[in-house]
Amino acid sequence: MRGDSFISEDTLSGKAYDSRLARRLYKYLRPNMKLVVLGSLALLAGSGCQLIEPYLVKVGIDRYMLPGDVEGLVGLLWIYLAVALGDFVFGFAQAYITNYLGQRTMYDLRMDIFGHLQHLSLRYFDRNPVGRLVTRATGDVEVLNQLFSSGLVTVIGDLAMIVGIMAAMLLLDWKLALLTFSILPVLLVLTFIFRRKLREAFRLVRTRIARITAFLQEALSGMSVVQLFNQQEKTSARFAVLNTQNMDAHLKTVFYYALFYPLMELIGAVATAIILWYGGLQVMEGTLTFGVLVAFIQYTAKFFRPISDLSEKYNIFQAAAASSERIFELLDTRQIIPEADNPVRPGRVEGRVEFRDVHFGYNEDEPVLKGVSFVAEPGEKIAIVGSTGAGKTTIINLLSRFYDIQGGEITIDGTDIRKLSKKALRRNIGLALQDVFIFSGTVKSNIAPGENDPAMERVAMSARAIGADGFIRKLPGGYDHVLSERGSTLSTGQRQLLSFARVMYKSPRILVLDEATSSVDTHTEYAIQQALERLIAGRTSLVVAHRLSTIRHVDRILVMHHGRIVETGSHEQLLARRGIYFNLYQLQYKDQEPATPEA
Amino acid sequence: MPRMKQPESNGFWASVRPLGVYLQPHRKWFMVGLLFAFVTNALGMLPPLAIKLGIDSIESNRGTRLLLIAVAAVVVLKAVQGLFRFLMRRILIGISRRIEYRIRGDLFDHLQTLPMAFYQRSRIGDLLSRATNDLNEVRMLLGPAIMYTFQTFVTVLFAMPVMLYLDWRLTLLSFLPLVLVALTYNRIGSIIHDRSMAVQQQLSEITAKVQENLGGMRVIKSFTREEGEIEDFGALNREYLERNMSLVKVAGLLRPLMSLLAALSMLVVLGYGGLLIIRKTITVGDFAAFLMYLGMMYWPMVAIGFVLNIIQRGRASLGRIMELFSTTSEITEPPVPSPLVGDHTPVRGEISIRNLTFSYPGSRQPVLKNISLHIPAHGTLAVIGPVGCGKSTLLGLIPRLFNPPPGTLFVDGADVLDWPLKALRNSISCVPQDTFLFSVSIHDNLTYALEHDPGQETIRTVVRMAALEEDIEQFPDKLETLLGERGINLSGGQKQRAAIGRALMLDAPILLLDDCFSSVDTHTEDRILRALGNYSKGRTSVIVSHRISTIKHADQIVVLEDGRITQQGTHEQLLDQEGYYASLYEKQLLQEQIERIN
Repeated sequence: MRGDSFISEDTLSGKAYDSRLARRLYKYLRPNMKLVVLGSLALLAGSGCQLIEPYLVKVGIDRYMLPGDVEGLVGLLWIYLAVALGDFVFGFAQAYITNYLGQRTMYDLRMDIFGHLQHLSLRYFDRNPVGRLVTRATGDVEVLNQLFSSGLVTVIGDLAMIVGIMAAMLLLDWKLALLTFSILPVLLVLTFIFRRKLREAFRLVRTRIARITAFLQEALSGMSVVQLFNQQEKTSARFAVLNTQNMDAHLKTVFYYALFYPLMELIGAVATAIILWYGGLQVMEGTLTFGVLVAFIQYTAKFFRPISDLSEKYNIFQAAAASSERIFELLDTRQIIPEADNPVRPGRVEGRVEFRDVHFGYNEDEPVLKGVSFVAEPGEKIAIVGSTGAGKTTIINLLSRFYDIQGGEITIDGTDIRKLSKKALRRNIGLALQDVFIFSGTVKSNIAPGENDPAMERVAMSARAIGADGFIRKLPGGYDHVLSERGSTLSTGQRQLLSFARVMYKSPRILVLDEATSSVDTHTEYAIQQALERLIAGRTSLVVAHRLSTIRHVDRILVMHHGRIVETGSHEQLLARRGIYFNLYQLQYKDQEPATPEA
Repeated sequence: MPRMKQPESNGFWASVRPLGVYLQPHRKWFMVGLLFAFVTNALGMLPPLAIKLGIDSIESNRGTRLLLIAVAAVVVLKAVQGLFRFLMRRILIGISRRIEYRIRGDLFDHLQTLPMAFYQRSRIGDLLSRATNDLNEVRMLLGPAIMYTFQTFVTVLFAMPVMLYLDWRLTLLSFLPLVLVALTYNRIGSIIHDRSMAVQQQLSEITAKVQENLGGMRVIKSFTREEGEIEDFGALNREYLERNMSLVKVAGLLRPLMSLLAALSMLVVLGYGGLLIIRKTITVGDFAAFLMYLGMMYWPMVAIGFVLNIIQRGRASLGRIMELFSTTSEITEPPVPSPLVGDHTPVRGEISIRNLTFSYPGSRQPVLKNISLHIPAHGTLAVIGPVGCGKSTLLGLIPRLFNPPPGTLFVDGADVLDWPLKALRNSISCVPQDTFLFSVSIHDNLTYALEHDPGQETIRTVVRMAALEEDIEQFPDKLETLLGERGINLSGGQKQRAAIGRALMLDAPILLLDDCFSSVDTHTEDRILRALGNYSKGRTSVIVSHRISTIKHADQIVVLEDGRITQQGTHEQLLDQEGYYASLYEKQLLQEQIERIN
């Protein structure tokens, strides 16, 4: 039941076995081969115990009960108890080992997926919704778990059981055994037909439930439209159709199940009748013992479960094939920002940043930057302004090499950033983005992400330098206060200060900052401005500015318009030009004037 | 009409009583189903007796006639039993599916009566889960739980006497381990439940971690925190492994333990039964029959524990569904409709608002403060103001998405609260801010509110008015193109224009436009507005907008700030006043200027 929810209709490839996928999955199994062997052994031993039990009853009847040997019977009871305990111990061992095998393999697979995701380019994440990737690491892996823990080993077990029972019956009396086996073809055909019908019926059920869910999702989300246009009755009628279809699909499965169980029992009864009639005649003639007769009846009863189990396993294999295909597709994705062959690893850069005729688009045919060139000298503070969609944020993304450019060159201290090691590059750039990302963890670990045991002194010093120390100390637990992205307790201003402290801690030569547009109260605004001033002091800074006060503190302003730098200069120079900046200023910054205290 | 009633007390029967209404129409077939369950299980008692008869006849060597009868009886009995089992399953499980269908239909109908206030505070995912997962738990309670309980009951009822008759001491001794089966299953079942919950919880931790990680990928990369993230994930992953293994310790125990207990029963029968055979107290046939009865008792015993689990979950789910049924809407029909509104009086479309102060249900903060307005029939009112000023709220009160206070909002002189709800909403076409379209064809979206297809000509006119003709021309199946997941996805502007078309199609005396041009470019907006100018001559229109270009031709413009009317007049009058309107106008001019550069 649980497995069903993970299988989505469109992605079932239908194949239950694919040698290429099997080889790759085997790689995950190989380090745990010992477990596979142990699990199979436990399973075989357990099946053996189950097979012996009816035989012991036979021995009991023939050798001790009918001749009246009480002592022998007591001895047999001990053996029976030992076998039952063996069945218990081996059964548990098998369950434990196979599940452990499944869990280990899942653990490895999940680590590989997560680790792989860490190294993919942002371009990949732009195109693949987070929800889908999350399913790869959770739902799809879970489906494979079923394959390893209940599929693979138990199939061996079921087969062993069937072979074992048949062997036992043949050994006891081969003629009676062969006669009993005559029902096997009927049994197999019935099981086969039933499974196929049921699989179709369940596919129908899944489609119909999916339709109900989709309909409800839509109707409930658009309830205001339904009510505004008085469409309740029509909507009800449409839902009733889906609801009826769903019920009909379910009734079909009810029908098959209702038919299957009695038919299986009837076949069982026929088998018993054959044994009773033919065996009974032989007992009368003295060519067969009573014990064998009773043992045969018991073996037949045990015969049915592994056969119907086996066909059920087919579904697990099919689902697992689809899931592993999706997982390996993700693992095969090579969309990464390539590391140079002999990457340059400068310890600490001077901080000269140059964009030379940079062309870039998130989609190749939709250019966002159309030949951007500028130089930021070490320690120079530059503001980038422009209306939305002008390409300001893109400049920031490119410098950290979240994306690779399609034309031109970006250099730091004269070296193309594509020749630098990614680690070294990013270590030298401090990044503070508009919507501040908070990791689940303590305030301390949020200020020093990536360090296992950050020095408290340096953390506190960074926070103090930014002016975040005050509010952090007021949090319960201070620097050890635990934050989480979901249900975060920090205000917008506090989050902003925290991200500044993060950069302060890192203390890079180059600072890249996307100022938050959201309005905060005057007091917080002032605090953020103070922090910003301290943050940009002495660093090469690129600031996407939304605040007039920020613009006034920089050395130079770049005005972007439709992917190009159209004006550059100081605030006063640009105002005097009465160009785009002048208009932007009137539109975006003029209102801020009274709210911002002059520095 | 919802048919479920909330129970008054908390007992077991009280908690499942709401289901009584649904079971009622099926009671005759339900009884038949139970009768068949009775027959099925009663018949199940006979084959072992037939086998016993057969073995006994072999043992006493009394010829083959009796053996033949026994053999035939086994097959015939199973066949008849199979027929009854088939009917029983179809009837009992079938009824549970039919009831599930009824409850789901009723639940949906009920949800459709609930007001917007309800949808604002509920999560769709939660409602969905109640209408699907919870309902399935309730169905399990109605179908399988009842069926298995009855089966266990009948099996024990019949097998016990037969077994007791065969040998009562043997019966009592062999039953001891079997009782343990039921007890253990229930006990272990609850431990398994707890540990599964712990596993699920850790799985959602892992899910959340991956989600958070992918969301913060930029920060992670810029702080080169990838390795640390992998380490953190590893810790969660390891914990998940451990929780799973702690579940396996118990869950893996279940089946072997059940087998062991069954084997203990077997051991008793083997030892004590063997002794009885040696003493000639019972025959080998008795012994074989006894073994078979014992086997028959095994599953019903397991079922007791299983059923207890289903019942617990079913009751909890029923409670969650009942919670929805007991939520009622305050947007109700008036007890006495206003005499001013009749079936045959045409709606003129005069709207007046008198001293309207409104706050959302459950909040004390008024969103609209002391609003008074009069819109004569066929007039146009425009409302403009900053985000959160109450514009959309004001618009939503007219079709009663929320109830205005009594005596504050009138259409054609009658309080909207005294209008029959359907008549009121039928006289209003509305383009809501959130332009929700359904995943059907464009044609069906446009004619959504109509009873009959309006014909090619009307559709073409509306499509032209909403400036959709070029877009539709480019769609693969033109008007029949499907929207949504299985069709094409419209751009924001196309969506808004389709929503406008849907409203125009209704041809109602009152037209409400809630900021429906925000994603439409100014040029297209201009085209639509000019077309609308003609259309709305005989209609009353209320337009909410952020853009001055949208509204400057309105008869009357109102500036709403923080829920109050701060400015009122025509475009020209407002431009002459110092205030929000004039400053917004200036800004929008500048913006156009910047756009024009290049």
